[in-house]
Amino acid sequence: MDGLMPPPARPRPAFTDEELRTLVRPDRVHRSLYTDPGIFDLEMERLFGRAWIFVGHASQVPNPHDYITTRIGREPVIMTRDAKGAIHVLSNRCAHRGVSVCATDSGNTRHFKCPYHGWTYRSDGTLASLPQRRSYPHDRAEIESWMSLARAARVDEYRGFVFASLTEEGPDLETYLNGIRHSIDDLVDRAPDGEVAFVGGCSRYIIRANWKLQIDNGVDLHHATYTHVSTLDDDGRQFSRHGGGPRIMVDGKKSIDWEPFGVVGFPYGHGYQGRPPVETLPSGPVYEEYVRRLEARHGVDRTRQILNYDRFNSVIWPSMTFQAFGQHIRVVRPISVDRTEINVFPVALKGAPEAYNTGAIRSLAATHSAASMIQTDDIEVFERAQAGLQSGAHDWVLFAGHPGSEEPWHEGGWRGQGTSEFVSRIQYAENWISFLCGGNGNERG
Amino acid sequence: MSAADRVYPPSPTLDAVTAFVNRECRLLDERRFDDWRDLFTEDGAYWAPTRHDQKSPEEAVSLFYDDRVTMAARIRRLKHPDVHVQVPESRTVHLVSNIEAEAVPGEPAGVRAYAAFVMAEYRHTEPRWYAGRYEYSLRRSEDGFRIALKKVTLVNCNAPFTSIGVYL
Ligand code: FES
Ligand SMILES: [Fe+2]
Repeated sequence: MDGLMPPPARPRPAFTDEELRTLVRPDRVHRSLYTDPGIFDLEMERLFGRAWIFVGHASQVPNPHDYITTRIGREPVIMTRDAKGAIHVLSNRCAHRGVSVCATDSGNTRHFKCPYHGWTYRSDGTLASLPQRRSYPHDRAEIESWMSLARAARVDEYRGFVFASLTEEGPDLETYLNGIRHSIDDLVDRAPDGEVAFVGGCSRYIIRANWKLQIDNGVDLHHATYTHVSTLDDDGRQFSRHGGGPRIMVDGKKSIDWEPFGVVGFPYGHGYQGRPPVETLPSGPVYEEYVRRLEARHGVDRTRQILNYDRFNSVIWPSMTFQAFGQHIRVVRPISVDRTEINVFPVALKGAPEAYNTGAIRSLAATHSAASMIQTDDIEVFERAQAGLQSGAHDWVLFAGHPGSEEPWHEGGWRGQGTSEFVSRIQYAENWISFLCGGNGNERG
Repeated sequence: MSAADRVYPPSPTLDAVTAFVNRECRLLDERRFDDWRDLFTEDGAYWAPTRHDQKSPEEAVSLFYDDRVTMAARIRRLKHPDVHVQVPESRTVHLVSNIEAEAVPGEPAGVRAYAAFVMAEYRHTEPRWYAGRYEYSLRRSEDGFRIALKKVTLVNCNAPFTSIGVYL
């Protein structure tokens, strides 16, 4: 069957590889990465069209013939589970003349029937019925190839997290994820049954800014001191999130020292922020019951290990960020060079007391919804960055903090000081530029 | 008593509910957030779901779910000079219409009220518009109504939104 992508190369790309390479330096990138629609087009084609992109979680399609619709870059896709239980990532585009075959966010159907001329596809994407069959003299093999829904070239999952790549080339998912899989483990291991589920709906916000601003922010610890200053009490403590309350300032307006908390970065641009200082860890009867259930499954020592809160936000470059402790996933969906949609999914820990999971769902309204008290400040900053970057007064966006001071880290990759900007440097200088020039990332090799 | 019998015809109760709802929205437009919070009962909450048929803030994520403690944190933040999403501040006007009120069986002090609303907001760049329905669980007290729950269901509650910096 034909691959979903990559699309044919443009006859004349907006930028040559040589031109692209002038836009990225080891510690800075040109502002056009955030503002030029031609760069955005190339990103959709060569980065979102090649890298492993998060599509959805297996729990969103638990039963045969369940589906969700989403996008991989600009490609509208349907993630389905077929009659035998296998997951497919299909193009939401009729093979006849391009009409989308599914118009709902999620559901269950054996057949996707195109509303235009009635071509009908099975939940595994193959053509099930072709009205006016006799007008097509084509043989079965042809019908099965170019008359079926196109599909992602590669689909793989890690602990229920489904990723797809629209090209046959490049590293496999395990190689691509490398050390950041420990962050997924950190989330999934928190479930007493060892599995998580996306069951609390989806909170969606729009940033009138480039998608990379959200990703840059995912490994930026020290912005909290300034961006989120209005969320702090006089004593520097932030309102409680899901049972825990971080203190991100001391002595009124004085910033805390972020350096000891560290940031960790991995090949292919992934990374995570070390844990910010959390003074109030969760407590109360629901939490105690949750811990009891973990201990019943794993014993006391392993439970303590699982609950060790060592990381805040993790980024799987370039399509998602998530918080294990906060129990949510954010999916980054670029729309245009200056518009991005973020989908926030609360994550239920299977086997945890129901009230523990619903608490996580509830707290997202205060922390990450479009009306929340934390995310809105970030969104405002991203939009002001988009406005500021229209200026030609400076050409460069800087990621120059703590040059070269990161050290090898036991999970693979490296660890830097809390305000080090080295993870962004890995993203741009070793991966973004590689993909944009037609490679498959990880230029350091 | 059938449901139809519970609906107050034009009556002192409906007039009182209408006046209360109009004032509640004016307090928001005037950014008198502390006075507005005082309209809520001690266990009161303000809720904006993301699903039209959402039964609770625990079934799915919400745009807002503020009990009085969260409200206090939000209002304290709204007064902070560095609440970036309110620089410049939102100006809003709430248009409230189609107000109905009904008794709550078995709750002599309870009144349920329904209204349709449109809110215009202007901060900078372009004005923004929100529309939806309000559903109030009110409790009568000696000095007027108190809000046990204000539920705000936007017509597009499941859509992606740009930042919402103030109450709807
Ligand atoms: S476009 Fe789908 S059947 Fe014609
Ligand atoms: Fe932030």
